[in-house]
Amino acid sequence: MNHPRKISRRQFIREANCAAVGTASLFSSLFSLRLTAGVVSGSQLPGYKALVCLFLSGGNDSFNMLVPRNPDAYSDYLGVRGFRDSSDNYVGLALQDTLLNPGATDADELLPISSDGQSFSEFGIHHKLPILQTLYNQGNAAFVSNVGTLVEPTTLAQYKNESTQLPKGLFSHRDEQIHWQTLVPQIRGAGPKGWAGRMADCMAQVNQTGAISMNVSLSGTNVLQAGQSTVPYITAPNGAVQLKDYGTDPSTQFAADSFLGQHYRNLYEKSLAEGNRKSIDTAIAFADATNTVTLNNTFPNTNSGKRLKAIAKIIAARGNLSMERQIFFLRRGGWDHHKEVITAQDALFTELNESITAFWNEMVSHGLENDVLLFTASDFGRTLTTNGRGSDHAWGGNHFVIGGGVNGGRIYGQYPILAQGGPQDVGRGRLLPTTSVDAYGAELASWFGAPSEELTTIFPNAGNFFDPLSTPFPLGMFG
Amino acid sequence: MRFVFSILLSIGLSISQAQADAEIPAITDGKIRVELPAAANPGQLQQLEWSTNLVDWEPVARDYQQAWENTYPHRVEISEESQGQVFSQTINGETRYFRTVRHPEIVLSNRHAVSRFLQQATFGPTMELIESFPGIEVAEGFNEAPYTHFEQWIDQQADIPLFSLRKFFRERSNPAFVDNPTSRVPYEVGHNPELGHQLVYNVGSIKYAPDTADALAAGRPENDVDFGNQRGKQIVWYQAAVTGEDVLRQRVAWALSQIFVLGEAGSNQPTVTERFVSYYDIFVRNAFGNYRDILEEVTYNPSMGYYLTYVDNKAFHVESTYPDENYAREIMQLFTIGLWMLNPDGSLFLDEQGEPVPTYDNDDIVEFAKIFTGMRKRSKRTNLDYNGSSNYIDPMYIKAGWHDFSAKTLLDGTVIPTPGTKNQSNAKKEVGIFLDHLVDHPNTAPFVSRILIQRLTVSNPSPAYIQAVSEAFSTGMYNGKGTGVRGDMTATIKAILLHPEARTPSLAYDDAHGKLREPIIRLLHYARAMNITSPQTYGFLPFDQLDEVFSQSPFESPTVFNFYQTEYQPLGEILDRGIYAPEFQINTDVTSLGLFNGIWTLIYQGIANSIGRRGYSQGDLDLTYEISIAGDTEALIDHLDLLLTAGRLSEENRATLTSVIGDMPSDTWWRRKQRARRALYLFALLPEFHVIY
Repeated sequence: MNHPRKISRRQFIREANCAAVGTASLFSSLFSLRLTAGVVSGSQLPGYKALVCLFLSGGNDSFNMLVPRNPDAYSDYLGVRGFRDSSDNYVGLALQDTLLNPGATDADELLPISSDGQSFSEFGIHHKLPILQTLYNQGNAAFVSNVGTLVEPTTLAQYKNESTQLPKGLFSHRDEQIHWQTLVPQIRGAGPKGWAGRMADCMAQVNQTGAISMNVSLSGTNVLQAGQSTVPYITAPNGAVQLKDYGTDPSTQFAADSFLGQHYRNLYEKSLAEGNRKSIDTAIAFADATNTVTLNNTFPNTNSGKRLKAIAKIIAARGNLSMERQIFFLRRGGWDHHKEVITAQDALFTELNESITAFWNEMVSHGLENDVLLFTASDFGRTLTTNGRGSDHAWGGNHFVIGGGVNGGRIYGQYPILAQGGPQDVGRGRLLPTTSVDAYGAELASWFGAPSEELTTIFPNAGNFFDPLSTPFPLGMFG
Repeated sequence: MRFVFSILLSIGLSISQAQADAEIPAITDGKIRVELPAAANPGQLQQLEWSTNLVDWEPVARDYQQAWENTYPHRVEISEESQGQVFSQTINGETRYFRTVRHPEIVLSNRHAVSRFLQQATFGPTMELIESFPGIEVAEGFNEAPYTHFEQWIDQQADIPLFSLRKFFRERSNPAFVDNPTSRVPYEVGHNPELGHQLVYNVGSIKYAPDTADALAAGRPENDVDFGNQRGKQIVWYQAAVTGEDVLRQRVAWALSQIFVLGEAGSNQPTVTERFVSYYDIFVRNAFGNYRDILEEVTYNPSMGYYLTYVDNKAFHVESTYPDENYAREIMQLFTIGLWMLNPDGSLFLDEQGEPVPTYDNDDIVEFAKIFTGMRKRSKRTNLDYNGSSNYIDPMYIKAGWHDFSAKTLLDGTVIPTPGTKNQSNAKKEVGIFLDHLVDHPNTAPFVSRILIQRLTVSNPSPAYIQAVSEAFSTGMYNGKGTGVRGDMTATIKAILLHPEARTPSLAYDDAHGKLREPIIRLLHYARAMNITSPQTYGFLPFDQLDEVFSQSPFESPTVFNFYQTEYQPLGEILDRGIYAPEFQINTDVTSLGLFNGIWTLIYQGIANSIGRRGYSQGDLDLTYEISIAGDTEALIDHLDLLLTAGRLSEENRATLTSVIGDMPSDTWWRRKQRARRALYLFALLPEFHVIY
């Protein structure tokens, strides 16, 4: 599969496209591209790196994933989420901590951690995520608090008098999922493409002889990984699907090649034929590269377990595939907990805990724990107030990053005051984010090797929050 | 084969260097005017295209029925002036070139035209449906407006007795089921002793698996009747989709079920078939009914109450918890008005700043969440398939004590006042006022029309098409017929299927015309066209977990947002042109090949392996006819081009098929069978099969 690299027209377009998005003029973008062309070359980006985006689809109620444990802050938390008594008819949503709340009757539901840099130091992780506590205490995991989509820095007063631009379609799944991925939330829809797609556009040269796209999805189509010229490769947890009789029946192969090589006027036929051509070819290359790989750990046979296993396999096959940089996407749905958030989250976190544990151990066994970074994304956080055992759509939320490369054991961003009517509350405990997803994304992109000159292309609104050139790590999670 | 007929015109800076023998019109009011050529033959397509570089041309307007119109996503001004229709655009400095292009006319045979129609209106054409189509033998004007024969077929379809999924289930499950004609939900029929116990059912916590004696008596494996406890609803659905006589009704029901999505993921009690199929029956029963009735039935349906979490929703005063906002949001965003204000032709309404205007804000959602408080399931009844103490079939009632009776301000500023008496009847009245409010909202007709058009005929309907369907929806009338009540589904369906945009063959020259079909419809198309038969004990067609093959199967939408979204744009030319192709959202490297392989499996192995539940076949295509003509390569290809590609097969691909199939020996029955099967599989690899236009 390792053909010598020729600069094809397609490749040229790919490289030229990178900077054509975003706010800069075409001229200045091309200029900056030329300047940075040397930076973004395979030879100068040593070593393998991969980003793994775990998208918690539906809106994770993440103020129960990372909970304050200072007495005052916990008391605020208890007040706004509501005490969950031991009856079957409880309506509160607070996780229990017997130390802080002697009235609690159940066992502790928080795993203690502490962090510098916040207005208080004691926090608790959801009790079904012990792997996070372990990795956090080892310095291999970090949290970012109250992250959400923003167009520009916005205070509560500005939100209320509508004096700043806000994301379009706030609090709606469809819009906020797309915004998290495009990071151009002032525009509705997926037109601006995804930030991992734009990043792959810029860095395509890194995988000079790569057999597949830099971006690989285990969960179907998504906005995040689509770029101007980057088309993600989509594969199944069980491995690539190959076309029946192709490669074994010459007449079928001849006919398929002929059909797919025709020009189609109709755009749907044309897109389909182009896609099928790519799918057939990539599946063959992909199967060749991954079939020989064996893993060292047993992965749970769950939604996220199967997908993380497949990702681990592709990472292990990185040499066969000639990949230097990869971005993976997996979606775990089921987080829209308008009802029964406590029990539902218990189950989902249990699943994640097991699959992340297997994935981490697998990466360690390959010596890749410093080169692979898993991070979460989600539609939004949820209301702090209860609707009776559930919570509704909100805005800012907490996220975690796992990988040896992170300055772990710390919560980044600002952990907010959890009180109804608090300084970030836009109503019912919907929290106005204090850290934009742009800052979170820029940290990950810079770690991945995106040149700081390209950060405004990858994150068009970044300049509203920080200076990407001088501050490529706005939160300080790396370096 | 297109030719430039008018002339390149340029705006602004200079006349183009191309042959500019047309008169450049005077620029008076800051607008360029392009005189549009007069009508060609009716049905013949001409397009106005523009370009900024003389290389890349994009169509912006078209004429195929003697009037120029916009094509999606353009909204340019086209006006009637003394010299004919004139296209005009405000100049903002850049050079823009125009040309008009006239295409040859395409004329389809009656049978090809019908096959194409049936690809839109059913789960797939069959020879029987084509040959029995009204007027199939008429010599003149068959496929011309007003499409009398097609309307006649639709009227006939509406009269065919409906295939109730609930009835089918009840007749074949619990022997204790009795007829209950006074039930709040129709088709509460009794068990049919002649049919026996074919499908799993529940009585409280006990599940009753199907009777295996019949399987053994029929010489079938015992596990033949075991489809898995959760699969009952799919078994019943496939039976309706593949074998139901009411083909249009079933197809429309499927389209509606993709608006009012309810999936197994997010629901409870996956083994209780009756609650799922009786929910689906809402769409079957009302496919030719009224949208407002559908909305009401869905709203009071306890399965939906659970799915969108408003069952047992309480007013704040009850437990100091806020009413759940889920249904208030989704009933607007997904079922009726959508997120943004629309013009009557479905385009975005823009304010003075050119910004779209939201239909509601979060305060409205908080307000309307109060309306959906107090809804509760009724007590369990024994004449139902039920689990535990739940009744998920009868409509919910409203517990007045849990309902929030405070006054509520609607989107247009009108107020539902606090009623004098706080009882169930007044709570229901309030819900009714709100549902009326939503159905009467100016967005609902174009919003729903666009989605239904996308499901049935084209992905990017022109503004005129949306407006025509939207008018049928609002007035309840099509072609002088209808109930005259807003939301009339028959009028809406006719407006969708009989609009010239859905019927004119020459629109094939418009490269954005048509749509990628849904994967499940493409698979079932084969099953129907080849008269699938079931060797299976009870004649079922147990396709299994197709969502794992190509991301779509009944009751398996991953979320309330359906398998794909109406505004999905795949990367590449479709996105660059600013148009939509929803079904491409589930067309991936995995699913596209998965579907090909699924069709291969159906052809060579039947319902088995990757598309079935067992390693042996539980459903076989009947290829008797195809094998009988397989010795004649052209006849075989013609036949499949009628049944599978509705006359779209290109010359080039026909030549490839002719050479590949023609090279296969045909001197024995077995070899003719090999030919027929190979031809069937190769048709599945043709883009012309997957896309309709």
